[in-house]
Amino acid sequence: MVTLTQLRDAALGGLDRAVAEWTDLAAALDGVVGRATTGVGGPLRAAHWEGADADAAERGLAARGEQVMVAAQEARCVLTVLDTAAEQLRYAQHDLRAGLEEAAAAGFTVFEDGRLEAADPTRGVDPAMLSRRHELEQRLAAPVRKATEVDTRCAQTLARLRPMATADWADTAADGACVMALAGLDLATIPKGDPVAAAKWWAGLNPSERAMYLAGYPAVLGAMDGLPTEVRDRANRVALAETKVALLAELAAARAKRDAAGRTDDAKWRFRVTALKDRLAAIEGLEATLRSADDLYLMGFSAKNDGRAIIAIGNPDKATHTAVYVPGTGAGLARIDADVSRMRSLWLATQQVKDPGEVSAITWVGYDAPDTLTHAMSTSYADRAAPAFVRFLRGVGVAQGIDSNSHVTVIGHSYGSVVLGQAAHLSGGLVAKDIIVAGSPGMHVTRAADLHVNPHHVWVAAAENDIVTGVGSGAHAPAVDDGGRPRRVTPDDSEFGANRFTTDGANGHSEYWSTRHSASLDNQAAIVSGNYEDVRLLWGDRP
Amino acid sequence: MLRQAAGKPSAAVVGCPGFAVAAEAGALAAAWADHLRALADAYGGAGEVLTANADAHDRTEQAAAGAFAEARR
Repeated sequence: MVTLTQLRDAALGGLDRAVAEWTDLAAALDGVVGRATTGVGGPLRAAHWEGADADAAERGLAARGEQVMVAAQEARCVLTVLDTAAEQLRYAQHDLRAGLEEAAAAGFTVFEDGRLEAADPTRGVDPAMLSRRHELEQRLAAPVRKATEVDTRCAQTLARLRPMATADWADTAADGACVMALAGLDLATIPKGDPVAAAKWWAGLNPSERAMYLAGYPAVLGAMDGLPTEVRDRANRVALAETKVALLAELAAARAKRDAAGRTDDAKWRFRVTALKDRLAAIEGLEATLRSADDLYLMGFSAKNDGRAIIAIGNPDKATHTAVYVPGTGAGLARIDADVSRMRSLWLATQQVKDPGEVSAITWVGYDAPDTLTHAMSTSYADRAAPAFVRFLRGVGVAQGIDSNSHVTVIGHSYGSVVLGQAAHLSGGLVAKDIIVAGSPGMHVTRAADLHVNPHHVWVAAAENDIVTGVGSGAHAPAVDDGGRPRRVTPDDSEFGANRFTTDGANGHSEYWSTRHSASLDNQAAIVSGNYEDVRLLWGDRP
Repeated sequence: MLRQAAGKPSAAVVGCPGFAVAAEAGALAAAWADHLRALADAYGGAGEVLTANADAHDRTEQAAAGAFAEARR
């Protein structure tokens, strides 16, 4: 229990220093995670070391990396508790010291146990003084009581933050929730849906405050367009780990219910178990993708529906050229690896062009894509995706800095091009210099100029035997009058007014990023890096 | 890096005698320092295994071993 004297005399700066020290620890641990990835994981992967020893080394490295990540997150919890204690105790101390001044001004001597006596004994029996004494004793007891309560609650919360032998994200997630309940950090103070406001808010926080929000709201920060990419990556990796353990717990509960269910109910639980296993498999696929290279940033993550993820190869905040790729039908967590591989091929191709500068290639699966071609006939998926995509692009620009000369290219494949078309019509439109569409079934406009960008910067790829451009046009390509007959205009139509580049050798709908037949890839690399004169065109006018 | 990080929070919060939160913070700092040193040793141990088994000419494994050793510091 805190005493009046202890509260009055406490040098609470000691707690502030502890907050700063734990903030430094969290930052140092984040640095260790980064170095373990680039310094250890990278060289081991580059060595193409295979076999049982290699597997064991990878598992060991991953397990230790998890422990360091958990330690960083727990350190953020600790500093949040200490900061809460310092703030609330300071408030109580201020209140107490004001009360002590009032007591002194009223002619009382205050004892260490909180009792008061009139400094002038002859006035001690005065009824007015007796009443005032009682009132002031209550007045002084209140902040001491409050400090005791704060001290006890904070100490109890700290006690649950002791290290554990193995990384336990379920425990860490519970710790985060408990700490946030104690600290009372208000979600309402975090700007939503406005990348500029988000960046300004983040810039206004000190390192400890940033760490506190990372401790409590990793998923919220990870999804915030406008925040620095490194922050989003760190937050999303925590959110990913916490989501995985929550799903594992849900799976265990569903299995127990399935096993206990009677014949009539067990089908429902079997279905649930299968669905959860699928989601976990997709998450494990994402984890494997993230472990596959040391230059990947997880800019967005959600396990909802088919799952969503935004993965950048190279940090876009530092890039001179940024490509943002929107895949189409069937996109989701379960096949994120294939989409990131396409962007890896593109990124590698950009490294072959002259003066590539820093390039970042982002795979944006930040929407619920249609699962089948039948679903892809609907524009509703693109309508829902477009605002999120526009916001994401703005966020990339904000994080790059308004004075940046970064060059952004958006790339839509198949239904992804429908998303770009819908996004172009929203307020603010596509904040991009170049638009590339490949295998597009239409963009709901008949002219490149209607995408609200310079049509010389609109580029299209269409393989000769890609049937999607024709099959999907009925749903997404508006018709023009062609001598009294309606004719659908897709972006690969010369009338559309885009630059159509060569795709020599690309076969069907899915080889636009093939390294085997690299014409399409090389052309895209030239566009993404701003080397327009190197793009091989079938028709059009390069910028 | 880990050993250096482990020493960052002080095991004593000065200026707040009698406060349970200060005492707990000190105990917590000591517990985390032990934990992180153990983790550093695990990284270092892995580096030593790599070093012991690496081909003298294998720069990759040597580089990884160096990074493990750095993590231990």
